[in-house]
Amino acid sequence: MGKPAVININNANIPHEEKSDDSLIMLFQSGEKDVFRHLVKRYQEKVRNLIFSIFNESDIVDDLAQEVFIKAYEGLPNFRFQSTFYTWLYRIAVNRSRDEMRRRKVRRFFTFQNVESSSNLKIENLVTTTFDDENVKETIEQSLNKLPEKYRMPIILKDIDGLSYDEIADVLECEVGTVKSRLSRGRAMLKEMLKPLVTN
Amino acid sequence: MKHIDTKDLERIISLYLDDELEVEEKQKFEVFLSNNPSVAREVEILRTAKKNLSARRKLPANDWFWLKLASAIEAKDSRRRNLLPATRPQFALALAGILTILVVGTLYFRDAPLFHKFFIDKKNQIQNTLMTGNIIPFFFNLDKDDVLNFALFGSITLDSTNNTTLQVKNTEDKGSQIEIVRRNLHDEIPAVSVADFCKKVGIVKPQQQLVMDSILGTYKEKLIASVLVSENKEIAIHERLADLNRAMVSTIAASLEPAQRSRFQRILEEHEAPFAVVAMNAPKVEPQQLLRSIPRIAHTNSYVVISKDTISIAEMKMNIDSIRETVWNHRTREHRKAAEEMMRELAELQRRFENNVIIGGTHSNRVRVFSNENAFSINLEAPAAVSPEYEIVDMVRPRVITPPTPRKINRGGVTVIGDSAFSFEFSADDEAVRVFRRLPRGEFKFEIVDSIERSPKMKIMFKSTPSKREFEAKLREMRDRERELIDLDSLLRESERTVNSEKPAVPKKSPKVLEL
Repeated sequence: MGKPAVININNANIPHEEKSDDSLIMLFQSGEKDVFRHLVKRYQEKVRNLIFSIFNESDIVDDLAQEVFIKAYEGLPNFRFQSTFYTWLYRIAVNRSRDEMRRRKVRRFFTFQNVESSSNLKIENLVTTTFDDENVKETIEQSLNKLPEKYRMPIILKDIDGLSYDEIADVLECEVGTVKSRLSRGRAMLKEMLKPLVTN
Repeated sequence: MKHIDTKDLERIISLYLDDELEVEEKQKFEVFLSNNPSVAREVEILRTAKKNLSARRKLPANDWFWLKLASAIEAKDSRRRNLLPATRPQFALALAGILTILVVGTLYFRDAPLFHKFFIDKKNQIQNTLMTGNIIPFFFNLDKDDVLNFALFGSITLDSTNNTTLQVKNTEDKGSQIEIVRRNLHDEIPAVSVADFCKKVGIVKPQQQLVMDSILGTYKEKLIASVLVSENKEIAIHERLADLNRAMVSTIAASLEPAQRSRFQRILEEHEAPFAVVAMNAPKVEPQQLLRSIPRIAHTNSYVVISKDTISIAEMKMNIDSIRETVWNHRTREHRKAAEEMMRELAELQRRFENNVIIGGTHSNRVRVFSNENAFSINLEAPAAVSPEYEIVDMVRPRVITPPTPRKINRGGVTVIGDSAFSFEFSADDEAVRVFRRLPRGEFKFEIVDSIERSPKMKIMFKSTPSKREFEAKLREMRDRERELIDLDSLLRESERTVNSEKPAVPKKSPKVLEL
């Protein structure tokens, strides 16, 4: 019979920077709020880049990332270790980004004409770009941004952030099968968008 | 694997790209690909896409992030602490309330009619001054370019058609001025984008760009909380909006290297910005120190509340979280519409404001309202005790726009201004321009008040002249000299015409004598 998994959260020999996420969270839950700083430092760039991948705008990244970490700070006392800290954090980031997208959608509805004309412009640009251009990355990102959110999010989490299917399912709060099917559907759509460029 | 239906093919390609196929399945699929070049090409497209996405550029690290976040968390925590039973301010208030009721109750029964009148008056006053209905920020969708332009020029557009602008001016020790200006269509609003600004000032390092971004982001929240609007078309402007403008310029200046700061000053000068940087050579202030010096949004703030008929200064509680929540719930469109409607009405009501405005609130004696055809301005005397809210590294001073004109006396075409300056005016024809150009600059310091491009008359103002008699003597001398010069010039022109006979002759013009 193995020993029960006890984490010595007060091990003074290990600096906070080297402690595991779970140890830091336990310290946090026991009242040592300062350890949150180490969790933030560990994941701030990942969260910022995830938000940047979703919106492709650097302007809003820090504001949204700040809100994500505030939510995490508020929710951490109730963290039950049923998932890893970073998938939990990603879940908050994804949900916050979805809220922001919804908000933008409402705003876009009122300025429909502008959106329509700007999106036409983008498509034109895309068609004139060849797949071998230096702009290839930008072209791919533009195509990715055109995918519906439910297909785009798994691709971002898989191809940009390198999460596993299980982790993506945890972040998106869905079944692994759903993740797989959304990934395959999303990629098929992406391929259809990129195909004419290769042919040209 | 001879034939696969499309949906299944999509699934297999996706799993293949993620290396999630079983070894046997993978081998079978690779054979299938070698027999189906079109599918192989599609796989290649997706593989390239996947490779490019995984190598996607990353944002530069933000060293300020934790600092900003820590301030936000601290603010949240302190708010929550206030709600704990032991420290709840309501307890103290409730105790004070009970005592007040006891004292007032006793007095009321002794002098009831007087108290009744007092309360009725107060009630009317409150009804006249406070905002009603839901209150939300007017600028809920500001971007960082808007924030930068407010920092640089102290102005921000109030309506969607760009016709009305909110302008703030800081008058050093006297107080500040908030103006709602109706803009003429040909008036250009100065605008600088953050990208252009960084380029012009020479902010090229990603780290410094981040600092700039953080400064603008921090001030954006403050600016959003500074102009509020109610659903009943009342608008509230933070009393210290002009100080916010000054603080923004100062913080930006403090974050720059001395060389960048002088470029920043040039931009301010070019655009006739309300502030000028003075501490040119002061060392750059560290980002952490700068960020700490920017104050957080206070709970209770003093706002100038403008309704259709009244202007008042009112203390208002600000709960930025609940305001964010309201914005979140998309209840903003109606408010914005109501506010824009009010802007239009205000433009119509400017004359009415001049005569019939009621100024209320506890600090109403500090408010003065002026209006003309295109603007109405609210002048606010500085509060008696200025809180050290914006005591950040102050590196700016208000730009001096026009020199003061204390006393003007017109004596025979010469306007004497005060004790040490005077001006004169004459028609800005060719000869006049020539006179101006030949004025002895060494002897007299002068400047053109009305430029010849804009006005048919030219007005020159002299500064620090020795005496009026000396000046008049000089004028006589100049006039005589100019007559000779003008005559000489006419003769020269005439002789040129004679030499060049192809050119049509122009009738000789008699020299004009300047009337001074």
